Amino acid sequence: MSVDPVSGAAMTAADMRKQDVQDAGLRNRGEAVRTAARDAQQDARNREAAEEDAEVVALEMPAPSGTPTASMGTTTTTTRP
Amino acid sequence: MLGLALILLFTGCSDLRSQVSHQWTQAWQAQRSYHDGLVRYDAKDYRGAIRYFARALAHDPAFDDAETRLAWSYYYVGDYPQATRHFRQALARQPRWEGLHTGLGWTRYRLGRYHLALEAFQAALALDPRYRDAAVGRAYALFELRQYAEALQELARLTREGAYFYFPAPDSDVEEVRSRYAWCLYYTGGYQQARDEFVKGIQAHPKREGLHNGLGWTYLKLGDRAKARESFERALQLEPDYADARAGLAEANR
Repeated sequence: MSVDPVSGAAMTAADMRKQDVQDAGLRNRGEAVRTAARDAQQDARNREAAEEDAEVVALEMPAPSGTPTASMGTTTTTTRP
Repeated sequence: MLGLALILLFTGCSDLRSQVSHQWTQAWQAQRSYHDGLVRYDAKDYRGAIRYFARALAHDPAFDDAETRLAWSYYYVGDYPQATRHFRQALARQPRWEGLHTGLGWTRYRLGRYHLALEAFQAALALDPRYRDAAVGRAYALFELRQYAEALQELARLTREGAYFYFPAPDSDVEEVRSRYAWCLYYTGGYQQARDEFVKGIQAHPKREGLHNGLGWTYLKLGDRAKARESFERALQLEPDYADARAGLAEANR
């Protein structure tokens, strides 16, 4: 059984509480949507990383024969050729 | 006693001499293969180049330039998994080489791995904030991830800089960047500006059907069905199987 507010002040307070609850609910919902979107992005990123790692592992071949020598390579290319 | 010492010394020197000689031969062969690869690379014979760069790496597994050129050669022949593998291997040795991050970024982009592409482009830009190719890649990856607001700012800057900073010879990628910028404006509701950019793009490249198609969709949003129809028809003249332009024309005729 509901109880009617006995005064305007009480009514306002009750409404405010209700509004606060609604706002909090919306805030939570907004946060939940943002979190879900972030999680989805993170999942997508992790899927891409797993795919790439699997692909690279599949391509790994035995090390080239011959004794490794000191590198003669220099890093000069800094733009996309 | 002295005789034994002399024998040991002589044997040791012989081993050392043989080792030095072997290393020198390996290094020389690596360099020679690399230069043979570069000749093919410069002639855009990427398949031929792959053979030589791979040979250079077999002689010297830590030859950074050979591995980088090998990665780009694989990129240009469309073997993106191999390109990824070599960019990653080179990056493991040279993590502060921004060109490698950018190469890995574009390779991931071609494979549709836009989150990873974005990370690679950002790593390149952290090392060199003025690196245009990395900035273009970052904007494209953001666009594909539908982060239009972020992409928009970057594309606006890149279009502006590409057109004016490189005057009198605008950067070769500028019209492609402009087209992406125009689409970004379209998706964020900046239809009038999108129209202006598509028109500028068409002035530079009148035979690019994608620009006419973009202009058509933009006119539709601006409520100008007649001009939209005209643009879609032009796109279809240039590419009769263009499904998006056909859909646009149907929409304009509705």
